[in-house]
Amino acid sequence: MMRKSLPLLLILAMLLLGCADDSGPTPPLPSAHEDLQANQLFRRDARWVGGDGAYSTSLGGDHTLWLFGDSLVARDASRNRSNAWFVRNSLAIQTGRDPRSAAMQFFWGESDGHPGSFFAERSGRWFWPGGATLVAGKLIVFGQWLAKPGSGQWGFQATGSAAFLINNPADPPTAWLPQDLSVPDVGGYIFGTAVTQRDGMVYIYGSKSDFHDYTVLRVAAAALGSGSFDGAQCFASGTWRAIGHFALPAEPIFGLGAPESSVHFDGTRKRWFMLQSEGFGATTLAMRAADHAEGPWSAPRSFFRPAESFVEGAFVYAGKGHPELAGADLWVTYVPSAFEDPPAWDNPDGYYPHFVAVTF
Amino acid sequence: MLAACSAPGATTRWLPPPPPTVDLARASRDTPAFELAYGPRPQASLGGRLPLVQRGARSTYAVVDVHALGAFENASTFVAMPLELFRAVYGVSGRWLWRDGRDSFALGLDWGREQARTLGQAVLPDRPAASDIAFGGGGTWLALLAEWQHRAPRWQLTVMLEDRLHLAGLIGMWPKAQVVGDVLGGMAGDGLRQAPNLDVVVRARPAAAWQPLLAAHADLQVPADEFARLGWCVRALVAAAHPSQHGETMPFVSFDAGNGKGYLINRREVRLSVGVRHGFF
Repeated sequence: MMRKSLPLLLILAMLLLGCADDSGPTPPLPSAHEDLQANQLFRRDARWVGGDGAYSTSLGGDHTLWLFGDSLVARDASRNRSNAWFVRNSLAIQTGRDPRSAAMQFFWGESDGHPGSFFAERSGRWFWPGGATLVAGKLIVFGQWLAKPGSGQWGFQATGSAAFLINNPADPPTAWLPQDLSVPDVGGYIFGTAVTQRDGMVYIYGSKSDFHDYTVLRVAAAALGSGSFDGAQCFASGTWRAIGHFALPAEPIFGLGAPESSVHFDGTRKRWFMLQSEGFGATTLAMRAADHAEGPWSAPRSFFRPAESFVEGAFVYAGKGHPELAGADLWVTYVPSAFEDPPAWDNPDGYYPHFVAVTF
Repeated sequence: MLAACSAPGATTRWLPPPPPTVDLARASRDTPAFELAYGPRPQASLGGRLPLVQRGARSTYAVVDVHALGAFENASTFVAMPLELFRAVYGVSGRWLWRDGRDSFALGLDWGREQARTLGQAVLPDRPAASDIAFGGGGTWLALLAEWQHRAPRWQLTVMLEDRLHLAGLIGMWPKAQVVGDVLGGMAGDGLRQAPNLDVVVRARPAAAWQPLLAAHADLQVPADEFARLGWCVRALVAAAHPSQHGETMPFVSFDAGNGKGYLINRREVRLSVGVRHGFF
């Protein structure tokens, strides 16, 4: 799920154009360290041997849903990556809130008698999951449909937002029957880059273009739980506006965001935080802060450099926070990969999510 | 430099290879020279500075030159040849020089780049910690240079001050351009934001066959990452320079303390080394 594409000309344009509104409150600078014990959560399955994305949300009780993009499923318990099945999405259910001691069960779909994507491909398009949230006992999984009109590692293209409603998230995923939801088309944004909820409202962040301009949609949790976006509003020109009135492309709440992120409200610090990978290639983990879900958001402040990002030519991405987990002030994950196509599966430490424990 | 170029009587000439004087004697480990040293592990470098063009009058003139250094070093093994880590430092500089009696001065700019690599099957010498400097402290910089040299009848004193301002870090300090700086820094391998350094060289009897010299170097490494730890290094070098028609040979003993170079930048050590430098021109 390597969504980053930033040609040199765009970087030059960024320099010329300047950047975005970053007038939000200054984020804290927490200490952080990679937790090798927690990393084992992703590495104990007999056949799931790698994946990126790694969005998470609470399913209630001590269960947490993990959503992965491109994933590797080994043919047998030898966990051999070289001939593993490559699927476009997979998921896992974590039991226990602390990733250092929790159990994990992975799930994928089936296609022609072998492992396939959990959310199946349709007409040559595949689904990459984004954020998800539990509302009124129902699970809503956001994401995007993609196609690959070009070749090479960066030849893919998002074709639209997507969302699935799952009525029985307490059941094993093998019993789920995801229903399509129609995500509003607002200014060409792809929604689901990050999803969170607070005080009965679900906030769905979207981004577009190689500059990753961000906007945010909000909808009542009660409505969304019944599969409806009725009453949804988008933040533009300093106020929330009903999306039915959005004749023109929405004004971004900030530009130069990350293609994947997470947003949560920190009750201790009374702030909204957005966690993301910052930069391109050899990235850091960074945090934006805001007093309101819609911003104004601060510029990202880096607080940790993954070990893989200490050398030129690295490709580290997919930074996200997981506030529903326990055992640290905040758990953050990232995924190290490589610029080769296909990515370097032969790196035994690569292409797994890595846990970073953050202490404020 | 503009003043030098437009001075009355100014002429332009392509330069022959320079005599190896100031650059060869510096204690800095970025000195572009041929060098072999040992202690506690082997180090070797290949490099030189090549003036390209000079324009100006006899007492005030501008010089443009290029410089390059390839430095090899071992991180863990003590065999004779360093084959584990490599560091390249290269750039182009322009200086305006003028003389006043026994004193000469230079001001200049240097556009340079440093890159760290592992060689062969070597891996990073140490697993990075959260407070470490990234990319072996490499990156692209614009350096401000200032030099002063005093020539007495029996000795000479040279003081050189350089401040490397790394580009991605500088861009990131620009209002609203932090994200751009982060993107460029990750792509260009900018591990530092700034690296000021100072060299002082005292050299006795410049005309003698053997010229004892004492050189000292100090530098600071300001990381690009806000959460990384400041680096520093000091080095003292005692040597005897032997100019000849085949160049200048300089056996030396050096003592250095602080952060290393390249992928050893996050390893703080105290080292005593013996070695020899040679300038072929």
